Amino acid sequence: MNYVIVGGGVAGLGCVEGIRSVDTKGKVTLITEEAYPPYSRPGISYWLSGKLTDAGMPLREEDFYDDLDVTVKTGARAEKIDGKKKAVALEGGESISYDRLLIATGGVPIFPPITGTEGKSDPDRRIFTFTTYRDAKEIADRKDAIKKAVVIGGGLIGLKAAEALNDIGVKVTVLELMDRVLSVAFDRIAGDLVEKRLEKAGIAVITEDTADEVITGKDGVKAVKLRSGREIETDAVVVAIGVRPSVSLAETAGLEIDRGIVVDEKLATSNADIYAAGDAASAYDIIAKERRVTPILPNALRQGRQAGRNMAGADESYEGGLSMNAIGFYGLDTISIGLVNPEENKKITVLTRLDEEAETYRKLVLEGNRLLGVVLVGDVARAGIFAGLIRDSVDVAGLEEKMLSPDFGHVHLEKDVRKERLAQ
Amino acid sequence: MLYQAPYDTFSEFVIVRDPDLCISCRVCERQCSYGAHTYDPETDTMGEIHEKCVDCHRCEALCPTGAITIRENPRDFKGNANWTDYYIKNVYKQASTGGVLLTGMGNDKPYPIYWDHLLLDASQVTNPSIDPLREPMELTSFLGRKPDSLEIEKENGKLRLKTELGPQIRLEYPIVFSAMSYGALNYNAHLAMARAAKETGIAYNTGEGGLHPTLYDYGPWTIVQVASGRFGVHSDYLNAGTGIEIKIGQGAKPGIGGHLPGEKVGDGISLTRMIPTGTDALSPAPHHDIYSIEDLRQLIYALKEASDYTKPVSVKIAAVHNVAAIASGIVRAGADIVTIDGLRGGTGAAPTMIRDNVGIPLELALAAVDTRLRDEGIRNQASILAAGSVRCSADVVKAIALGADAVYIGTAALIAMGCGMCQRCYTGKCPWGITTNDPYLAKRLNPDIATERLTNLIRAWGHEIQEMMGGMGLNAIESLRGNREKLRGVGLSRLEMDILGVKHAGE
Amino acid sequence: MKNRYVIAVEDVCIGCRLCEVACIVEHSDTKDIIKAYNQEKRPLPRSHVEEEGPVSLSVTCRHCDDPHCVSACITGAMRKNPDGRVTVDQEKCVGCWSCVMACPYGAVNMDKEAKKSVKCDLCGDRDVPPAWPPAPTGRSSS
Repeated sequence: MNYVIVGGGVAGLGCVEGIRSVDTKGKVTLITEEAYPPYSRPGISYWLSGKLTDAGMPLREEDFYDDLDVTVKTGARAEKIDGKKKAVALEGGESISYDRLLIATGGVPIFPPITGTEGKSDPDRRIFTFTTYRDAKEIADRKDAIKKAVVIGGGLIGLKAAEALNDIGVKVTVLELMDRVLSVAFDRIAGDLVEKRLEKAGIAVITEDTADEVITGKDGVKAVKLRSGREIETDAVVVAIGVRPSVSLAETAGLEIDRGIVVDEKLATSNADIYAAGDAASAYDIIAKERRVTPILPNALRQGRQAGRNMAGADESYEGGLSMNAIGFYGLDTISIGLVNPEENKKITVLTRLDEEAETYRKLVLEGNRLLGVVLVGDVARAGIFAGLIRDSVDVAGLEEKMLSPDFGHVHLEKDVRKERLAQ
Repeated sequence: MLYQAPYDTFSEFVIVRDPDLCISCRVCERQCSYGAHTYDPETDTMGEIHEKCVDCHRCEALCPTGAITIRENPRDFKGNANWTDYYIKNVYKQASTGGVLLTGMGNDKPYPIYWDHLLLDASQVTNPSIDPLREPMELTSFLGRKPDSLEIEKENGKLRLKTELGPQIRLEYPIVFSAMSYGALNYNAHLAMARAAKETGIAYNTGEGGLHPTLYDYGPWTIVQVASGRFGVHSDYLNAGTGIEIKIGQGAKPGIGGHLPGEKVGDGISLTRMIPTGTDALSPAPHHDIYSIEDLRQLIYALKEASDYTKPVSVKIAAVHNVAAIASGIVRAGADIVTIDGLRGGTGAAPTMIRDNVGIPLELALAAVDTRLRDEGIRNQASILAAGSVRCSADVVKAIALGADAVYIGTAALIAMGCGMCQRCYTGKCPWGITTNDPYLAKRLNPDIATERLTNLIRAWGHEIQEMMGGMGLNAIESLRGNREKLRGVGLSRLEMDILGVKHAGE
Repeated sequence: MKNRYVIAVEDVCIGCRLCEVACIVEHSDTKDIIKAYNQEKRPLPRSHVEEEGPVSLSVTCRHCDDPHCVSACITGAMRKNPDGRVTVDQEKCVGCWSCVMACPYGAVNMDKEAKKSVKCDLCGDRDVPPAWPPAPTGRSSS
């Protein structure tokens, strides 16, 4: 069996592990357009601030791929898939045939039309995106010229970029279009607590505003003009609004696409020999109870692994995705799992506990007796217990008070529920 | 300590903590159910409230660095052979509270211990000793009424016993676990005793708290008790065990009934005793349907009827002044077993004055009862069970030599399960998890470990009994039973030896 | 490889937390109980003792066959070793707490000072972890 994986991200890596857990003999080739074997994308901000070294960036040890007898082709961009001939055409002409294929092309940064830019990054003029290792290196190479930076986007990527830049001595201003930072992954209160902590650390945050124009001088960015009319002097602009699924390759194979590449419960696309996983795929989400693109690292890896197992013949159903985010800034830890900003709905109850002085916050989103989501700020220890309760739809009636306190644990569950969950 | 009267500040014990070894892990604080250890989060140090310490040794046992030693507080009052600290402190306590002094476990006062004045024989030249590891040694005992004579007939060339025998309780060792109620002890302790009784082929007594529904499986190794409160008594209960015991009294508190404070009555006990949760379970002093020996006979036969004459009925009395006459009456009333509980018998809760001053020692009572029943020619009509501080296998041998068919062990069983003899059972705060039904504390007694320890104890004593018997040249327990010849007294008065029916060593 | 882990049997756990003491000593530099507590930077225990009234139990890493923490780790510091143990490489860990978020047992501990995840490692090369059996009422390991 000949397995080909397009995409060297977490999903691609998961697929390698998934295939090999079932089939130790088949040929496995992983193709990535980047110059590196699978590395940690969320790690790039840690790399930029020096917390991770070059050696710490790859997700697995050097000999991992050799030990599993997997070929990794870096710097190889896949251009077209021929679903009938079962072959992938690479930029430069090479064609790689497959029996089973995984598309794990991930996401590409959203770059809005900003006057003064060409709709994409331009490192030489110090206009950056912040999704890849290369993006981080481009910034690092020019850091002597960057005293001030404006980060467009107050989401997960934007704030991590801001934190990294702040840590290497850059004066950062974050621009967020919504009324709060982390507007997708967290709620208002959590967002405000984070904003306060960022400001305490020296990062300026401007909400309900964005950049309409980038003003460049002789050698690069020198200012940014905001929608509100204000102008901010700056040496660099980092566009970090978000990512959208990279589906162009899948389109060449005529696969069904909604927001992402549509996959069934086995993670197969509309072409039975082609699977998809990760930020590019639209797979079943257990909270939405329908397909969603959930660009979250654990989901990507587990989708990749499941797809790999099914490609090798396992025929197992995907457990379903669950969005979850763990992020911390300057000592303030935050975690959100599942549905965080529910719409007004009779069936949904929201319970919160906020201690502004202690900077702790807890929010529970329930539908009847089932937990749909949690937000934790400050006291995030053992948050994973909630992930388990959400994923397994455990009846949590009567536990609301306990769940709102930091020492919530299995001991508060009903004895037989607890014994089942902790069973050997 | 400051501005407090001396009668409020004395502490019997002192908690000595080595500061170099203490790591403030707080296990002592967590494990002490009396609140004698404290923790100061600001300085991360442990502290002590000595007055609350009861010398149960729980903290000592669990401290991972061995930093704690419990010491008796050196005598705080001027030396006085008459007004000892004990009496002074009791007066202080009663003047402060106006209450009755309560205590647990058995009489701890220095009355003579006759076991320690009796010595056993051994074979030397004639009547050679027997090695129990190489030759059969019979310890099996049967409790129940034995007929006056045996009629044997021949049938088809084979000999057959014609006389019908009454029901018997078969014991592989002459030892039974004493009556300690479910309420005085917790479920785990009862489960352990039931299991150990089954393992070793002996029996245990339910005590006056009834039998928990899940323990009916151990019925063949259970003696069910019918006490004055009649807790948990119904027809299934009576038929569940291998014997029934009517409790008239117990050695620790002769003349008064049982006490189980409402705090100790939780769901399990409420279900088993058939009383509402949280209510005090007080057994009256007399059975209110036994006011004469004829009434006792009536109850004995009522129980036999209810159990279809399939189980021996025992009557348990405390050893008091006329114990021999009382025992004779009990046997004639139809009891198949007489249980005598001596002065030093244990209890979960008793008034201190009664525990320490009422009753007579088991050894004297046992000898008196055995002699009287033999003299009256009715010794075969009932087995004698002796209770009240049997501390080791030598005490068992001496008890049997004095006339017992078997002994009950209560305190020894508790000590095997971990008891440290702090005598605070009545508080319901036993930190070893034995005499408490507080679910947090009761967990501390692991029934698997307790079963193993009890089984070990019985087996160990069994071996020792065999060795001692073998040393005497006896290979069957019947040969020891009532065999006063095997005992000699030391340091006893002529009168005591007469009552015990033993000669002085050297005679 | 059948995964081994230490569990506390809820019915006999008495909440004494001596398991934490044993774990702290095992993960200290000196392995001496007095020094580990009073002189070194005290390591975090790897288990979580939960207590509510009479119910207490200790929850520790299960070294799962398909560990959620390994899936969630953004740097690959969390890994499943060939001998079955799940361990976290302290060099690679950046303290993002994704593993804390993912573990359904809540078994990953947070060293907030060092900004590293800390978890049971089945005591490295010891055959039997020292937390078993000092527990006074008996516990099992599998």
